[in-house]
Amino acid sequence: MGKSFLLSSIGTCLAIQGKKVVLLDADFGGANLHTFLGVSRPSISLTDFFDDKLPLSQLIVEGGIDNMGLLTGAIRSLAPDGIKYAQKLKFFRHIEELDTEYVLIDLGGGTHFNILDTFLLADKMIMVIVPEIISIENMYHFLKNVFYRKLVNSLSAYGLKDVVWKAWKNRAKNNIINLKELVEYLKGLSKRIEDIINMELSNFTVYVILNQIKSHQEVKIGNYVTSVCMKYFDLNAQYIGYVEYDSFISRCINERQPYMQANSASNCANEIKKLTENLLKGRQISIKN
Amino acid sequence: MKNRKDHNKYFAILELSSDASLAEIRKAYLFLKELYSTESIATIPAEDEISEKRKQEILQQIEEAYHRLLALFRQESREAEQARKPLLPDDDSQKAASEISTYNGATLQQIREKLNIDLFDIALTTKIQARHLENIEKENYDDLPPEVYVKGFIISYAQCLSLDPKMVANDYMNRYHIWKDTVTRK
Repeated sequence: MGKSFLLSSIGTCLAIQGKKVVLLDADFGGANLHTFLGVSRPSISLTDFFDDKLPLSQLIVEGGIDNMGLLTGAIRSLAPDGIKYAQKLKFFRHIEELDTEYVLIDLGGGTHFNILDTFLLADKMIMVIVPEIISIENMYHFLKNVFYRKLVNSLSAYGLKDVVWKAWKNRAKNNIINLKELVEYLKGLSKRIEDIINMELSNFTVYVILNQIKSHQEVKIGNYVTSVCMKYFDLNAQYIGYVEYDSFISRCINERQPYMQANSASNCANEIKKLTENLLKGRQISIKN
Repeated sequence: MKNRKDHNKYFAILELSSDASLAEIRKAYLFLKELYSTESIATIPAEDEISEKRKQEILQQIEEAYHRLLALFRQESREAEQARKPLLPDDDSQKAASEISTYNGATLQQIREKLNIDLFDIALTTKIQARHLENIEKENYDDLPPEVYVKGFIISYAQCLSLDPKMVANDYMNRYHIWKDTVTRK
């Protein structure tokens, strides 16, 4: 899907603008962000944080260009249940305390709660899709899981720990068939829950990037998807950009050449620069275009 | 602008901010209508999420939002007219309109294109067949239905472009009469 490629490219855009960036590779399936940056696999990783209790800030290595640091997750992952709750909280706290302007976190697939919690940690939650039905289906699935997790987390924070899963467990009895109905049901339970959920909903936005499009016709798929998120799931989604397919990308990766620097004038690079700007400035690609 | 606030809900349904222009509203409407009345790679994976009834509701909401917003624009334009300041959706068209001394087929087409509105759009809103609208713009008077219909068409068409319907109809029908006179004299 090109998730890691986009993340490293967005990071490069920011670093080139002189902003301090740390890329955090938390993709357990294949922690390989370094490959996209053309640097060799760092000898230190998140393992040293979880096992040897080294502070996160000491594990950052050079990311290949000025202003960019890299933190790789290689061996131990976020997904195994081996990571204790306290460790996770400490990990999140260390991320927030990093001395940098931007932390870009690359997450692996799947819907393990540690992945969802890390995703929810972000100020800007970004999802990458390609114009294929499976990719879009996965994205909806992930989005629903994320919001469900957010409901659980926020209601727990108000001492309403079991409300969500109880409602869901008894969904047949409660006449709930989907997330939207679950939300409606929960809101109906009490004014307090309704207020909490409304607050969470108003703060919840996902940013969608459409990658690997092969014709201009496909641009609008991003608008389709964000519209469906809003109309079917009641979740706010913004379409921040698209990137066209470029066979040169895999060549660059194979040759360990950072694409954004090797091809800074290509369509693809320009589209990435544009979506980075959109992300920073809160702009989106609206239907009217 | 107070009216616009009351209409926020409708702008939101069409996924627009409340400063959207008429042309943007039309575009969003057509886009969403197509999205939710056909199947696509964005809707199929979410099929199970939503009942047939709810799907129909979404389409109805889109329809309602569009018509409410059209009415809003007509009202805004009427209010502006009363203040003797013709209000048009954006500066460009305002400029275009102020340069126009008489409304004929060509100038109407010009204004419409400036607003980025398809003939098809107008046909959809006014329920006037697109070929009639085309003949109006091309001034193919011969191919138009009887005069009384033509006048009605012009009025609806002008409303769609937020123009003063009376003024447009007067101008247009003047030319139409001149043509008719020459035809009958022959």
